[in-house]
Amino acid sequence: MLNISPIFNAMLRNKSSVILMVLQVALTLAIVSNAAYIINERLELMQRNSGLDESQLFSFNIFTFDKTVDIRQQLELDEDMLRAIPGVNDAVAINQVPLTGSGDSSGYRAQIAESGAKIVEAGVFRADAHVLKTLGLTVIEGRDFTQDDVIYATGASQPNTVIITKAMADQLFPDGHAIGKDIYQFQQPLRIIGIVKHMQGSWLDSSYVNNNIFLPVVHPRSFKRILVNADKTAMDKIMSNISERMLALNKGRVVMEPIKLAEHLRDQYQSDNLMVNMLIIIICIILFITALGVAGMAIFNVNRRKRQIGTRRALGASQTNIITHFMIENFLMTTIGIIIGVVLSVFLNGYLMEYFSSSRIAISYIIVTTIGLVLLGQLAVLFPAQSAASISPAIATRSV
Amino acid sequence: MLKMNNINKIYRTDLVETHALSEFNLNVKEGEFVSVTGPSGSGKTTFLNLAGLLESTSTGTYELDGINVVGLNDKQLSKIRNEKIGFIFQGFNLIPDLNLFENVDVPLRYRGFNSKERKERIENALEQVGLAARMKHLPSQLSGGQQQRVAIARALAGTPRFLLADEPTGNLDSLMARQVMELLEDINKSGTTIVMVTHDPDLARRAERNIQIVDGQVCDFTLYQNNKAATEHAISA
Amino acid sequence: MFFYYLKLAKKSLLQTPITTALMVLAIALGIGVSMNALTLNHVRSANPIPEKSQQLFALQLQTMNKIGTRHTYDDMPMQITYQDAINIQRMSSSTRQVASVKTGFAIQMEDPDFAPILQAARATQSTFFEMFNIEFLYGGSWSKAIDESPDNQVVIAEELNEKLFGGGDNIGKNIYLNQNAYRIVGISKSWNPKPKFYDLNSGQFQRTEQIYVPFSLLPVHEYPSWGNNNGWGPEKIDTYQDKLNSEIMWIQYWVELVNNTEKVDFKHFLSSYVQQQKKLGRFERDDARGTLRNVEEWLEYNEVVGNDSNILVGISFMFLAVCLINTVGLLLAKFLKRAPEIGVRRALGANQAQVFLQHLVEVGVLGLLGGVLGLVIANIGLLILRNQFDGFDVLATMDMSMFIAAPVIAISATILSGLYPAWRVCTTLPSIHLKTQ
Repeated sequence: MLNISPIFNAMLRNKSSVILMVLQVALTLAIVSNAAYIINERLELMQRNSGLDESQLFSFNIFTFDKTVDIRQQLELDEDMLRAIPGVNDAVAINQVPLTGSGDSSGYRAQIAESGAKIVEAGVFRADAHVLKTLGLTVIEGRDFTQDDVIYATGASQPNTVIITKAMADQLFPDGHAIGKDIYQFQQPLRIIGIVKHMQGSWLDSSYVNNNIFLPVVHPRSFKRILVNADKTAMDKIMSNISERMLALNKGRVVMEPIKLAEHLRDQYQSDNLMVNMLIIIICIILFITALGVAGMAIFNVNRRKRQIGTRRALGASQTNIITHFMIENFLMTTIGIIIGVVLSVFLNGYLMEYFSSSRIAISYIIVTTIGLVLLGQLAVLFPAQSAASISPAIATRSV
Repeated sequence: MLKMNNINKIYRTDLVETHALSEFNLNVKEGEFVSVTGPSGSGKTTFLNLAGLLESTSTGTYELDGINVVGLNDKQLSKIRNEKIGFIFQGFNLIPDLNLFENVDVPLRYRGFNSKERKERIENALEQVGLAARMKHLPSQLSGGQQQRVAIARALAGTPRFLLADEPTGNLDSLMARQVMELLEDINKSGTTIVMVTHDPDLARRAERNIQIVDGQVCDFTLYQNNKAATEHAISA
Repeated sequence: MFFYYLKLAKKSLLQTPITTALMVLAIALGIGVSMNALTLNHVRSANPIPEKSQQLFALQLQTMNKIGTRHTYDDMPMQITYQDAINIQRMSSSTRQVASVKTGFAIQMEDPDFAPILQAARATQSTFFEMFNIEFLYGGSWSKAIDESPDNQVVIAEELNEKLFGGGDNIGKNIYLNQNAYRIVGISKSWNPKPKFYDLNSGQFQRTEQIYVPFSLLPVHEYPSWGNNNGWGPEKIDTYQDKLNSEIMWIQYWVELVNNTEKVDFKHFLSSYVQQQKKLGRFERDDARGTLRNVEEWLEYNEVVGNDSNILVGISFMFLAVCLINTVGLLLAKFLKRAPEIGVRRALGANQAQVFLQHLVEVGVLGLLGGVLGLVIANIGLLILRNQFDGFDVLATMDMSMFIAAPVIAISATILSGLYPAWRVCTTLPSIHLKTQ
């Protein structure tokens, strides 16, 4: 029943349209499989756990221009005022806010700098003892800061104690037991008193996003960031008049618009989000176009072969035979396209890896796309094949 | 007008070689009305295609209106077709999307006439075939006979020296066929050379001279009136 | 003849409205998506100062010790120290060059009811305006003397002038920056190079600063850097003066060298400067050196275009290729179906070139329609991008060249895809289609 060779020979006689079909399937396969892989890469990136409850956090910047203001004292007053607002769980003046794309980082070692010990880059968070509570973090080992750990410094003075993330601890001390050990930026030791499970830092695309260190030091500077942890339900209301409340305490400054951490997070993943959306759109349209192409080509072939089909019908071919003919024809073309397409996919992926630091495509993406394309092709050819099957055998006997 | 000497036309495919015309000789004088007959597959169509410069000969010489056309390029051949030859087909071959005016306009466009001259010529040609009133109609709105008259108008609009008609009445009933035939005869009387391929012996008889093609060669050279019976026999065989 | 072909194209396209719609849609989608991606890429890869991009050079210095590292591929810091900026300027005073750093102020006005606003500012030198071709509406830069002996003078940009004063010539008036009075000496014309090449540290497509203050005021008012401060060694920084004397890299530095001789000379000067500093005990590394990158090299070095943008352009052009292959198929089918008509035209005297042209004109019309619809699709896409993503108002905007590029690419791509079908139809022997079916 399945006479492939005559179908194949018929295809060979119609080279140009077959080549076009094959090319289209091959390119579609290469684009869709690679795009799907990139989409998945990005979705995984975006779904990483930040370790924070972004929906409960917001931050704002203040700039004190009035030189008569005692900033250290004013910060205390600000914090007290903020912490007293109903719905606010905690608030802290801090040098950088996670997930925002801006902040400080430094390299730390398990020994002094001159030892040449491996340097571990980390985001540096400087704030008072409220920092972990405001971020919603708890230590999994050791203890949290107390107010005694905190120093207030205008210059280079460093505190004696630090809390670091588990990821950073694992890199500095692969054998474990980081609690109680000292780490160094240069020569001064910083004693690790606590470890938090996980928190992403400010730069989500950096290799050290999970390495973060908390220093109990407050620098009373004119430019400060304030991080607030508030109940989800009360957030918008609190944010709406934060500026008035702050200025009521002191007018010698500018208070910037408060922004939710969730919004910062969205901004940070903006380019990934854009990539995902664009690629999804491209995949949808390309499948639509390819399906149209397959159907269009089949319709054209049916029209061209009307007499031939009628003659076949007159000579005893059943409707199923005719449909099968077109399905097999499409299957053959798709298959050739897929063989070329797989090569093309791997080649494209190789190119993306070489020049755009992408990773090796998982073979499953190619397989799934392949199956999808075969089904799409068969589906697209079904309607024209049915219309071919309904051609009356009488057309063959109609005179010239 | 038309001189073919030792023409050979061979069609090749991967498997077979067909000698459609071999050692074919024909001479048509200016102003003649020649009919060409022959059994199916004898080479009539090939002759028509060669004579109309739609295909080129494999070997031999062909002179049309004093011009040796063998070896001319596509552009030169197209120009000769456009200026010197008028075609009339069995199936009329009017372009269905174009109205009568636009159909007659086609060869004139390629001729490069300005719009004023084209308009004049189109109107005259349609006038001549009695369809000037319907120039905005589409071919599908006309009867077969009318369509063929439009095709004739199209062939005449460029005032060709030479008309090639391929079964011009093949698709028409006898009344319409007679009208078309009379039109062709009028055109011939006004000086245009006509070569008409047909299988209708009655029609062939009306020409001044009849040529029969059998197996790719000119086989007989008689005036048709003299041996009508023999010819009829040959055709039905 | 062209208009005749246009008329035939119109007839032909209207004859098969569904096929035409499909082809136009395929081209439009292909063009729309790739123009969208290309626009994003185009703004990123734009030359922000084409008239001078070969003459302006970002200066980098390898001042770190062996332990320090930066994230650049050649391990060079992006910025330089304050002391190097001052030294180099003193030692090569004949070369036009400028140091600058981003800072910011709370602005107050004479009017006590004016609510203070926070504005980013640039502490720089008078050469900044000449080097980057910034024009003035009123006044001009502070004098060169101010670069040496500081004074509270300020240049504000057109936009800020509107915001503070509602526009107009406000030269000589005072504004208060962090409570200090500054006299306005110039109001600069709106200037927004994209990318913001002269300082890519905080946002490559950020708006330019609206306030310019003399760099010489740095030690006087102790302006903080609103950009990056990169250190690499243990330094005790207790005062602002400590920072000025330190190895912290926080200054952007540009040099203007108009020809190769000047470039060679300046490079020569740089290497002698490096040697001199080595003798003083700085610049410990073996590869201590200075490098100069012109604007284009600097943008590439900073990876302004970005991988994603390039990947999107690549994939969307492959996508366009699929759309075009699709169009080739449909055109081929359509044209071959019309072969009998073409046979008649050939018999009536059309030569191959004329038939070929007739079809290319038709294809060109398709391309034009597809291109225009593609432009609409691309702009709808960009509109969505602008609404969905912050900061895309600049990136996702087509400029004139893109508006022209879209139909040009569409028409030429479509004509390219129409070449084969048109060739097929014009080389078909006319005779085989003239016999009655």
